[in-house]
Amino acid sequence: MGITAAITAKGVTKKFGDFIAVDHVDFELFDNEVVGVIGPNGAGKTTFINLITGLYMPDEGALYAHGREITGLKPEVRVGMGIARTFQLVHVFDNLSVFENLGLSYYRRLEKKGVPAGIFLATMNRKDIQEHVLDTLRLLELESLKDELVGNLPLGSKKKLELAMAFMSDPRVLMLDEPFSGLGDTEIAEVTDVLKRYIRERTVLIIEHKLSRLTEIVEKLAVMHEGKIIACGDCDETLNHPEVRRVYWKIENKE
Amino acid sequence: MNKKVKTVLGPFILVVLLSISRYLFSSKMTFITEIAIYSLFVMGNNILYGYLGMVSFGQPFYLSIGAWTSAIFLAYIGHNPILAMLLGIAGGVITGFVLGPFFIRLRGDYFALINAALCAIGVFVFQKLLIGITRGEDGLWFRTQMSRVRLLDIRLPNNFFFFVMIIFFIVLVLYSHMNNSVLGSSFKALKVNERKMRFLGFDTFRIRWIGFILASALSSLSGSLYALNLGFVNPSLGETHRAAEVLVATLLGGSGTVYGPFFGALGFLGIKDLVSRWVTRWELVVGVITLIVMFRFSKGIWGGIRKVSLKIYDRDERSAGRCGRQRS
Amino acid sequence: MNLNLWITSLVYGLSMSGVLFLVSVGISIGFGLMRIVNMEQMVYYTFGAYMAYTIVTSTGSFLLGIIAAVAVAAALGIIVETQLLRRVYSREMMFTMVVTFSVFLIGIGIIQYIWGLDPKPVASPMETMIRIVRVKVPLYRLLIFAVAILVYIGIQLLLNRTIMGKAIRAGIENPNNVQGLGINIYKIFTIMFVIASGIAGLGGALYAPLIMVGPYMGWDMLLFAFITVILGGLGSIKGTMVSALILGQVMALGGTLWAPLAYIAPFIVMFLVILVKPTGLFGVRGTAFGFES
Repeated sequence: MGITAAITAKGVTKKFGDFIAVDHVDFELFDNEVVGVIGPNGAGKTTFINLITGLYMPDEGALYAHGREITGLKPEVRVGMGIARTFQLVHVFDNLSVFENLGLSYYRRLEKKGVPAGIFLATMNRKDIQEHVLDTLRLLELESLKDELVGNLPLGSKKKLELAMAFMSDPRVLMLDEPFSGLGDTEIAEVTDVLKRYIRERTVLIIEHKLSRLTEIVEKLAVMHEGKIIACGDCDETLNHPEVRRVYWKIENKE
Repeated sequence: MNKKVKTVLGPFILVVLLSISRYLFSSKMTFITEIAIYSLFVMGNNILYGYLGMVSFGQPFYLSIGAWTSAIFLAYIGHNPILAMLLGIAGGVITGFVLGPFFIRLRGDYFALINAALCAIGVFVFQKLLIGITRGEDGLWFRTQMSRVRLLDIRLPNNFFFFVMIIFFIVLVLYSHMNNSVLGSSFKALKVNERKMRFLGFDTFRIRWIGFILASALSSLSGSLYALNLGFVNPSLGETHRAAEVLVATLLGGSGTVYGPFFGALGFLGIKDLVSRWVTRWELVVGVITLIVMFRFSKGIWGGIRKVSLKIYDRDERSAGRCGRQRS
Repeated sequence: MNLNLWITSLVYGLSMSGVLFLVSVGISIGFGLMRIVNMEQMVYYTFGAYMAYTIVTSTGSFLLGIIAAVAVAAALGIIVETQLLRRVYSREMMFTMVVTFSVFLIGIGIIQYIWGLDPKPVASPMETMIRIVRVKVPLYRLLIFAVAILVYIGIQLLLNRTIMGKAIRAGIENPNNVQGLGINIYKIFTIMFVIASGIAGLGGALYAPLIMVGPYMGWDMLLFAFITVILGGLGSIKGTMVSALILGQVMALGGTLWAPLAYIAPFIVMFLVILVKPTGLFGVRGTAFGFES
């Protein structure tokens, strides 16, 4: 048996009515690879992530994580298998403190079975939760906001928090859906910085529609267009791919 | 450490204060007992409304499950009131466990209304269908069936008061612990963003189910104590009208907090007591209070108390050179 | 089988269906168009019944009573919609539910102050009996049903044949669309709300002679109305009509078999339907809380 990919997609298709959002996509993400997926809006990038993480179920095709089929599994089960994600529109818990947000994420990693009785006994003051959350807060330079209510934070901090929550769960595979969307230049620099520190020796898939921000992070690049992956490989190789030049370069040049 | 102490200390202070006021206003003893019992009921509803964000118009059903379980046990089977209470709680847990999977998958409005329907069906069952056992409108009397329990003879009102205080203390400590536990955080997180909870890997269905069972168990405990307090139970305990009352009390005290339900029960029963001297029916008052609370004081009485105390606390901290809280 | 009994039951059921449809169509519209759970519809229903009582006792004219009932109910609807509900359209459903419920409670309180607690009888407008297959049945009950049918046709015409109706239907499908078309959705909301509350008042007035008018008459009717709407599916006027027809017969048959069943049978029906099909008979699929998939 050869190397099993962390994520394998075989002929995955998703339709919304007549619109084919993802069209027979074959894709492999190997361990310790950082891959960026770019493409114009509506190319099916987010739908693709949603299919891998279980928000949508594919109409056709199959998905595997480290060789095990995950096609019909619920999102929470896939998370249990080590597939974590973030959302394009930031998803955090506004009514909890920064600490509690991270604590929840860390707790889940300890208890692999969903909801055991421990969920009632464990409090956020537990030593290991305290230590790990504080470590992560330090990594992201969010320590000063520890007890702040998340609803009061600016968007940039929320984005960083959501990343931190994903890191906390120590996933085998991490999917980031447009981690830079809605951020200003300084905040983008900060997030890039955090990502660079984190992604060494990890398996990450990043979606962006602007190429410029990805090149310094990713090792491999895939381009999606009209629901299909039209090229995948080293950054330079992909960008010089004739079809990519035709459909994507134009858009990138405009910016 | 600090938080662990707080978990026990808060409830302890509250129960001690209640016990002191029992001697200061000795004519109000039964009223204080009722407040504590009602608080438990409100705490159950608070798990649904305040923590999980589910409105139920049928909480009296779960109350009446506890009351009837205890009453039927005492009237026909046994004599031990403590056992009767435990059976009442068990009844609530089983009800929540069985109904949970069907109910919690429903959308918010359906959930509220199916509970209302359940409540109406419950009244019908206890009033008409089981009339041979429950004696229908006359109510089931069992005061004379209760036996003396070792240590504390809870048949005497004074002893019953302390019995309720002990229960109230235990439940408050557990409730306060729940608030700080991962479970409490999960409830609150679920309320604002269920999708994210699932993508953190939590089985949200089961968390909601646990909440539903806890709410049902607390309501039925309250129902059992009501039954033991009155010495009889009749079907009006489970009427749908009461669903509105418990919602109002939850809002009034401050939803989603540990001590909110107590202040809600205190405020609500207090207002009811005062108003009913002038007005026989007080729907108007309840309605107006709810609207005012909903639009002006969404944090309720306890929220207000906390805000004032936070301001004092914040001032101290600010003078120590810390930035003020951000607002946006 | 006793034919007499069944025909009486059928007619009784039809009149119940009529009343159920009239009081619940407003809730259905509220669900469908404004995305609110307007529990205070029962205030208009109760006020309608009381207006019928007051006017009929003082003037003796039932027609005047109905007109007054509709007018007062519609006026109350305007006040509640413009002063209160407009502030809560954008809030979550839980919030509007509690708010409209409080309005309902306040309505009950006001009624108690005006008319007191004692149930009031309303003189029957007609004693005419007609024959259906040898069985004498009260014409008035059939008339209630006829009125409900007329209202149903009227609403369907309004929704399908007028420009406002088209805007409303577009609004039901996608509330943001209508705003984009340059139509003032709030004006439409107000108009629909007034129509709905007027119809609820009409329902109260028509039902008044058959029951004792009391401050709490809205309580049970509230639950029945919601059962009707839920059984029929949210926002579907046709569904509301069909489920009113079903429930009316369920109540009548239940009552014929064993008196207490008349009250409880609808609850049992709703309970079972929701458990089996959580979207009602004609409802569209929605998400349960935030559950996807």
